[in-house]
Amino acid sequence: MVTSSARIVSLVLQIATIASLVLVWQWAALSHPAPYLPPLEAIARGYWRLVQGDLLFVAVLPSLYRLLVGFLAAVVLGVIAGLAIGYLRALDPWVRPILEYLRFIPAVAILPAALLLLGPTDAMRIFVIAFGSIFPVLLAAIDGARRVDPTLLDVARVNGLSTVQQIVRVVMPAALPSIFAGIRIALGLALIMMVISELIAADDGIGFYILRSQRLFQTAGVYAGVLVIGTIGWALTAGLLAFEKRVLAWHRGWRGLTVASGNA
Amino acid sequence: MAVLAEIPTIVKNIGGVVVAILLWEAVRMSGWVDPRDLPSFFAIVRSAVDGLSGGDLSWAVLATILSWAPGLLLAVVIGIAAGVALALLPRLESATRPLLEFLRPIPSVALIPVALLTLGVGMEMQLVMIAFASVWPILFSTKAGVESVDPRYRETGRVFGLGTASQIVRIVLPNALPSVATGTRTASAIALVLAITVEMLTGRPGIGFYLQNVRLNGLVTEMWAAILVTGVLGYLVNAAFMTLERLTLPWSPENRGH
Repeated sequence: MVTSSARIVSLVLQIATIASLVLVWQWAALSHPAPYLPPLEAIARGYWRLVQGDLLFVAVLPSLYRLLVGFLAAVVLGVIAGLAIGYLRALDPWVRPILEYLRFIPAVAILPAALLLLGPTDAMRIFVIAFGSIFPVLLAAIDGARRVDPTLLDVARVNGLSTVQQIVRVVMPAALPSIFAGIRIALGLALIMMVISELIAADDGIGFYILRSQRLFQTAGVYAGVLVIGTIGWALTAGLLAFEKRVLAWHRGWRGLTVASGNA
Repeated sequence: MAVLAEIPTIVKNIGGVVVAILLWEAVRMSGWVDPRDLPSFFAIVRSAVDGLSGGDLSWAVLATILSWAPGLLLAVVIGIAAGVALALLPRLESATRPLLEFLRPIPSVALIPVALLTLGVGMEMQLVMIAFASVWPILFSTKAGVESVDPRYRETGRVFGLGTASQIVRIVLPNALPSVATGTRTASAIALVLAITVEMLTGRPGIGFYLQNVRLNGLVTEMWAAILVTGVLGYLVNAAFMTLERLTLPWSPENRGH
């Protein structure tokens, strides 16, 4: 449908948008110097220090470590618990009210309790990240496990597969497309909780670096830090989508799913 | 198992909650954590009721709602307008796409320090942050909803002599509303998180500030009570939007099944 001339017009428009935004920013920064409007080269220098220089080890890597551990814990626990609840239907009415309550707690509200019980430690931040991101995975896994074609389960049962084997070899593959949809939402939430936990209770990490730069009026550092977080979010999302594409290559709907998420 | 299957669902629901409360009490008594950090469930509920019936907690909840609602409203207005515009004007969509793709992966909470720099500490900054964070799901679901409107409906409208504005109001928006409503429900939860986070960081009145305050003053039971109440608030916000959708959008695909 899209002709090549339309594509060229949209490319030109996109380049014009980016170029004009960059130019307006730089012009404003140079002609109206204000603390909240640092020139672009200062932001670029700050960005470079964060991804390359001394700040990599005190700001970026601690954040990444906590983000990945918390997120992976949420994914693993969410998938295991979700598949179990979805497969063992009798369990559902017992846990449903608790789940429906916990999933709607705004995850920041948990932070003071985590601080009280675990102190200002990495374990606390990892817990908050995992708590904030587990529910989309858990609910997607329950949903996916319930929609498994019963015939497949009958075949598995006839062939003498144990309950655990049925879950791992039949239920999990069938639920994977749904699980991945949950994991994509969870990644965004994990990133939000990473930043919140560092803004409110940390002495290292990228969130702490941004807040400290703001308090010291080192504004280029604030913008550079935000850009680094954006880069992390972008890279992890791209990695997750590539991984999903690989794992779900057998699944007919994956192409439609990834296109839909690209527009969403 | 056969006996268990005959228990009515509501009894199982309540049974699950009772088991969870018993687990809480068991952890409390096990000595894994300092029992002073984990008050009994009934003490927490009593404190929540006290706090809500005219106590400080009720004012904190009210303050949070009073910044959450206008912020979300702002996001709804901007999100719907921008979503419709992006869906109907392909040139605008492709021109702004790099900007949207650039802003989207940045978690909105990371922009709180930027907002502190440019807007300072105050109501304005809190509203802007809430609206900025919650506008995205509304914008993208509006755009998807408008794009999914069958073009034949608009062509029919054109044949009947409707102008662009009345086509949008009478054909496009009613068709896109179920999708807009879903996006708004997602946004309402995000707006709540942002409101509370800004309160925690800047000391603006509300649940976030209240939580920080009681924690720093060692009022442990009050802190757990506030968390319990915040969860109920989050639950009620979602339930309210679901009910609103059911009552006002009977043509929504989500409501047709009933």
